[in-house]
Amino acid sequence: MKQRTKRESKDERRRLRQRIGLVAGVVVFSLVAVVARAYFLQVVKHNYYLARQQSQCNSSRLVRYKRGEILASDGKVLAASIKGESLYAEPRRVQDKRRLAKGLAPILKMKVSSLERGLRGERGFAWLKRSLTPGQVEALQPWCKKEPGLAFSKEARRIYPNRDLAGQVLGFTNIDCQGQEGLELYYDEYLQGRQLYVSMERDARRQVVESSQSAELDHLKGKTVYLTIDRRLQAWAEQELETAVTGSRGKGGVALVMDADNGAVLAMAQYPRFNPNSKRKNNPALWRNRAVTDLLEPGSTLKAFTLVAALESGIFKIDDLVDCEEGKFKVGNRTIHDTHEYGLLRLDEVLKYSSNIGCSKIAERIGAERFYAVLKNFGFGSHSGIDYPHEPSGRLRPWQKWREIDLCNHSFGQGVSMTSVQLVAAYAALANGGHRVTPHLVAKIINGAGWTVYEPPAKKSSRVCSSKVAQQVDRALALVVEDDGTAPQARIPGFRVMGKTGTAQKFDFAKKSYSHKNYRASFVGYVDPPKGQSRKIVYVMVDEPRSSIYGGLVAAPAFQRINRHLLSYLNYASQTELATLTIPDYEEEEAGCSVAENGSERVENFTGNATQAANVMPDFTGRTIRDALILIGSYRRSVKISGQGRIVSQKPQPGTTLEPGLDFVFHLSSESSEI
Amino acid sequence: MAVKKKQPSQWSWPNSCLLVVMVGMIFYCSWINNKIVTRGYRLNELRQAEKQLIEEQDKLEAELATLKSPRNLARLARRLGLKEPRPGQKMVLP
Repeated sequence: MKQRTKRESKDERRRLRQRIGLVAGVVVFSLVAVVARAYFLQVVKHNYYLARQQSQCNSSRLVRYKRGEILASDGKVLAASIKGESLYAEPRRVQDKRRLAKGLAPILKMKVSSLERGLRGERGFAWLKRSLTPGQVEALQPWCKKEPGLAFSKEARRIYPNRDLAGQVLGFTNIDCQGQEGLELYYDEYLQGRQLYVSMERDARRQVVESSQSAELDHLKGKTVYLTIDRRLQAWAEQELETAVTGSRGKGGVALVMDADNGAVLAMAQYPRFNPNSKRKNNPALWRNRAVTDLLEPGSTLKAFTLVAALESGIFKIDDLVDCEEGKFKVGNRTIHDTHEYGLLRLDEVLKYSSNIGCSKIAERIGAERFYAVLKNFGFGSHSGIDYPHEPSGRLRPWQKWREIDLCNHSFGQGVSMTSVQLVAAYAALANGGHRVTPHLVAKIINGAGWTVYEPPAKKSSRVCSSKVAQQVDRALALVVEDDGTAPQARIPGFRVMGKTGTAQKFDFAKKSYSHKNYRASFVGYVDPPKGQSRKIVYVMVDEPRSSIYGGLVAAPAFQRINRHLLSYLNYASQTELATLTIPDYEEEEAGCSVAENGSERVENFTGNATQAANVMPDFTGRTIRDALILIGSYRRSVKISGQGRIVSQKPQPGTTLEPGLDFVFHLSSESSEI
Repeated sequence: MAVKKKQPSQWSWPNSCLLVVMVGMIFYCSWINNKIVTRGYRLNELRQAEKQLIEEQDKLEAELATLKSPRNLARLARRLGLKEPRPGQKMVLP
């Protein structure tokens, strides 16, 4: 019994061992299988599964970093980028395309047919409208909620907060924020933000778990461009230019303010203005910055350089006399005229009275070669080097190709063309004592870390005329604003003003001759600043003025007003001097000008009557508003104007005694007329 | 015949401690991993919020620049009946 029990127990142990062995075998086999599988997955197929994991969890996205800002010299924003919403659709997910197009059309202000075209087909993506306004985004929210194939996408948008202030100078970008015109185009390389692929890890629900993108990587953003343009000066220049153009019923105009020492452009105004925020609404002709891109014949403003050539040649001295032939001078088979009959004039008086004959005779004596060399030295016929796209070189033919009449024409600014900037840069050289400057619009460019990455090259400027000659021409230019000069309106009491008028006939390409109707009236000059301060060249040009064609009447008053703002703004004048910067006595100046340049009897009589009856309201009926404004400057009253054209009625009535505090009201006829 | 003395168990308390530490490590690693993911979500949320705030700031700065533009100020001044000061009446603050 005992033996049997022993045997049974032995068998039981053996079976148990067998079972344990079996289980152990299965476990070991399983473990080996797991390890083998793990080895296969981790080692043999490592690359394959790693790639699969990465494709499922990791993704990358192209990020375009923000375009840099354009700032005015005072650090205020002129152009910036903000994020805006754009609307896109997935046409294959849109059920009723017609209904959707009809619903969206009034919100997007688009035609139903054009929206239907966008939704056509089974595409996966189509832009419907980019750069939406906040109002449109709000109105579209319900549509995006109920329509699965419709969504917003955030995109950068370029905005110009000052609207049309310096619009042509700034230019604009396209919808992808790439520079297309103006400074946006010229400095696109600096302004453009970098494009970068950013990797990110996503979970099973495609949520981003981790991203390598920092919210704002400063070094990848576009750089900040600081302009030399002063916002306030720019606004004043634009305002005064507008007054000059509309007051003279001109077609357009340009005004420039430039530092004569370094060529920094402080204001570059143009009229009509252009708002880059709504470029599509504007005529593309307005996109062009005429101060830089348009070639024009300078007219009499070039005579200052004829004088420079005369003095530099050593043939003439400033007090030499030139016979101006009593207003008519024959060159070959052509006759050159002066507006008035002058006899013998000193060299500086030739400039003062703007004598074409005097200049022709000077040019003839110094010769084409010398005259050409001086013009070339001052930068005429070549690029000024301004940092702005599409600047043409001026037109100045080699002196060997000049005929006799060409030499004479060039001496008073005909047959030679240049941009406004090139002319102002040449005057800057005169004003700074004879050094040529390179005009520029950008003061510096800084990167995200605050380092300056670009500054205008500080070139050693070349001397284009001796300082002695520059001073002599300075004195001659100061005569222009005297009572009997061509631009007494440019004078500022208490300050020494130098400048030159220009009244250039426009070339009629259809008739292939100079027009007797269309002119450009201009004035360029500067005011003597306090010691240690640089001179600022101010240039005003009005295209095709109608009320008067003369630079002294049309452009010089705008020059004077811009300078009054400038002198006050830059603290160039003491408080006592500022107090004298009130509205000048136009009466006297206008009378002087009417004799010197206009020669219009009507204007002389007009001012004469006003002087005699200072306390009696004159009769302005039939006059232009410009005439009226010039006269009433002396009365120091507020003026209200309605309508366009000539004055048809006025308050107070003619002959009424003027009481203090009474304002003038003028009603104008709507039709335009010419003097 | 001498009875074979039973060997003391290999599974002593240091081994138990080691096991506990290892299990603890596993849990700790899982917790850390979970925290990394959670923080990743939070970080991403905050970055989005930061981005939105920067965008909002850009818009507000642009709006401010529009409102303070010289022409807009002149227009508002005219509406309030103010007149352009003469140069002698002007003082530009630095």
